[in-house]
Amino acid sequence: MKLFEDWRILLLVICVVLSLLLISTKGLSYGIDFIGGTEMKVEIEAGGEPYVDSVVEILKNRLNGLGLKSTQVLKEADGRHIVIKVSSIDPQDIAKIKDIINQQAVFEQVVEGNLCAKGTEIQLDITQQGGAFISGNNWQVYVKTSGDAPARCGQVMEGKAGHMTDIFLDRPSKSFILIDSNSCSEMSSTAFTNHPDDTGYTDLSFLEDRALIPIVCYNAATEPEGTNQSLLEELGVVVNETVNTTSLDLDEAISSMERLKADGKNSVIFSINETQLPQDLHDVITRLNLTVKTYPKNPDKPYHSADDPDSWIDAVTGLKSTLKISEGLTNGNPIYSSVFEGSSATTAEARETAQRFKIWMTSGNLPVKTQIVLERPNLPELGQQFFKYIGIMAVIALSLVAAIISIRYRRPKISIFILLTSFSEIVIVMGFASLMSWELDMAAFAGIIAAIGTGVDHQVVITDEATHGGKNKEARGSKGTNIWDIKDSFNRAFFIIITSVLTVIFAMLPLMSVTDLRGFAFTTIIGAGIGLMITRPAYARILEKIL
Amino acid sequence: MDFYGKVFSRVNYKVWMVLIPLIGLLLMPFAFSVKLGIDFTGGTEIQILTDRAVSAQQFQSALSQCSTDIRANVQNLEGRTTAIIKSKDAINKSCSDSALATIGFSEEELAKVLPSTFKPELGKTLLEQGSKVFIIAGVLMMAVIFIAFRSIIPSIAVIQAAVFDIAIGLGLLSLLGFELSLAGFAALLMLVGYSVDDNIVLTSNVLNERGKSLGEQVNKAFATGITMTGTSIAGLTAILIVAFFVQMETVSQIATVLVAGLMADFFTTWFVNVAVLEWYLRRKPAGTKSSRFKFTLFRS
Repeated sequence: MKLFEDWRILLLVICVVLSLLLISTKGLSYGIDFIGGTEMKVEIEAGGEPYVDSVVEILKNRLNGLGLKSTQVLKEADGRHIVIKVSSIDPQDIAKIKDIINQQAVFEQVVEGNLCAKGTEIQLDITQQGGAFISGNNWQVYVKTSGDAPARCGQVMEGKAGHMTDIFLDRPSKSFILIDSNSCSEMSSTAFTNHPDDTGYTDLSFLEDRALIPIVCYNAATEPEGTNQSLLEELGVVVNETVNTTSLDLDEAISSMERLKADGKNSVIFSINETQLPQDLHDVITRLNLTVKTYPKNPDKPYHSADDPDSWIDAVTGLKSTLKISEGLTNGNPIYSSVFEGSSATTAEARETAQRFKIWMTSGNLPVKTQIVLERPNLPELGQQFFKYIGIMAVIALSLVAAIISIRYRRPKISIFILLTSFSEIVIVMGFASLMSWELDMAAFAGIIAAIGTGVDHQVVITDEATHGGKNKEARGSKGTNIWDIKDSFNRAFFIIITSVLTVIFAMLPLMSVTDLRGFAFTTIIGAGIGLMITRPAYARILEKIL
Repeated sequence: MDFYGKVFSRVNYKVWMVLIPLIGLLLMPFAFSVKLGIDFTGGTEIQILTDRAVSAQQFQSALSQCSTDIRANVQNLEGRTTAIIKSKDAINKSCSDSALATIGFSEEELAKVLPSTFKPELGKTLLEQGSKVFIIAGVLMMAVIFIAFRSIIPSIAVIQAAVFDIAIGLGLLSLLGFELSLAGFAALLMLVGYSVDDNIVLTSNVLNERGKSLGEQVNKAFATGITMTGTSIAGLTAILIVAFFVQMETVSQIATVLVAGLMADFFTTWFVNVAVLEWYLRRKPAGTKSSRFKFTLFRS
């Protein structure tokens, strides 16, 4: 084919093929206005901008536990709004999400499984250095305790110099973990370390003895293998079995779950999807009316790593930090004030750590006041209807465009190539969206329409400049030479196109800062850019060859 | 087609230069006071899907117990009724559920009735954000045009077209009771992009004349420009109609604003901009040519 000799045309063809490949293999992701789901927007009170990242972090953590598919928590460019997208429209799920947004975050300091201080009992002591002090890479946070906490802390720290104390935010105190025996044995053979001097615990014993979350291990094949004994006993639950988990039969594991439920543990945590659970356990969960929280574990990552604040154990337990107890606190006297301290790799990190402690301890709520300003459920049925009619819409619109162009040029070849070029532009924009994993929502789709509209406009300009309004054969200058050098015509056309594309790009760039319109701006900019770089130069070459 | 001869030989160019901007100025207050959608003002939108045939009036009278401001877009597609109800008031699900129960909605159907809540605070921030975006985008676009033409009056002629496209298009829509939502706002910026297209075709053709009369140049540009605008309006109208019936609100908003603006663009480009260029060329001493082709892709 002669057409493919030009690199611009070849580039267009390659881009179309690559895009089709991407779309068919990687696929496209669609917005909740197509697939159904709920969008919520949380507004943070004025002046709350410095806390927005912490709020996002806390909400993400809490929402992940709901086990809803594809939950997104996104910060908006203005720093005052957070967008939450979930694929569910179930009013019960939405109510849960609302609860989570309005829920109090509970700060806890625990010494090897014994509560020291909780919630408002422990507060930032702003009389000292404003609450925090940074010196080089070292940070210090000053806290004071009140109520029963000073006596309790003194008691639980007595004689524990050099031991660890754990800081939790939103520890799931009413939950237990249901996990397969392989994972149990993996966790029981991995040392848990969250501080350089933190020794003597495994991942499993940390969960049970320091985070106080009971674990029921089951055999992944069919039945549960064992339950944690020591903790059940601690909780006053007597299990008539020898300690150290010889194989428990299914009934007995189920009865441990029943006892845990009776003890107030009304929520169960998984590391796998609920559907992957053995049916019998599934039935028990339904029968006991347990709330399910799913924290999928990344198989490539360990259960816990001190360097990874998103590790599975941190997410499940709400563990925020582990500190070493210093000697002055361990004589058994009430502790009214203490210092949390540690060191980070850089001064900036130290400052950040101290800042985070301050946020966790400032009041019981999210660090700033929030309100839900938008709640927008989208029916999946309506989205499916959109999908169905988009094709019809495109066919009608493109046929009308084709009709006008055919009337104007009366050359089928030109009409066909204008349509083909526009179509390839759609494919490349979608391929690019697939490559970037960009979510195509309705606004993004409208952006594609807008970009195609200007694309057709520009092809008309190129065609008219190249053919001098379809009359290039007669256009001759006084010297008898053809004054319409086709390159000169293209330059004139591309002056128009570049100016137009730049105008569109500059109009759309500021729009990227408005979250709801980001999709529109993105596809319009990409469409304009792809048009300028790939499709329009190729169309000009095609035209040059077919004229 | 002798567009120039038909229009400008009968009526003096100065008339067009004044008349259409005057209409634009008159419509500007209406454009500014366009009714804003509930995403800007706050309110409730309810998506309803049912297998029974229910009319807009039925929805309106049933839901009137929740709010005095109820507007319904009800469509029947493939034997199903889809309705989008809008109100500037806050309506909670329990009120809409009990209201719809009076027109026979079952528990099962009520599960497919979903109110969206927009708080006025959100609209306030969106308006603030929106005005900022509009100003920044406007300045950037003007800069592109000035840099492209490096000549003040032709640039102003292009910019006036964009401004009056918005004023006339949105002003007329406002008079027709149109409600501008956030998506429509984005379309206003896109409109500027479309508007600039045919204005640049015109201006670059006229300013780069090669011994041809203004009339010939305008006619040549007009043939191109009217094809561009024609294809855009035709395609967008088709999209608008389908989107309206399928309840794709974002798309129908954008298409409505663009179609109205492009219609206005016909006048601001082919009457006003042509007139301004004629006036500019008449008062400009012959021989001083404006510089051309600031951007090129093809080396000649």
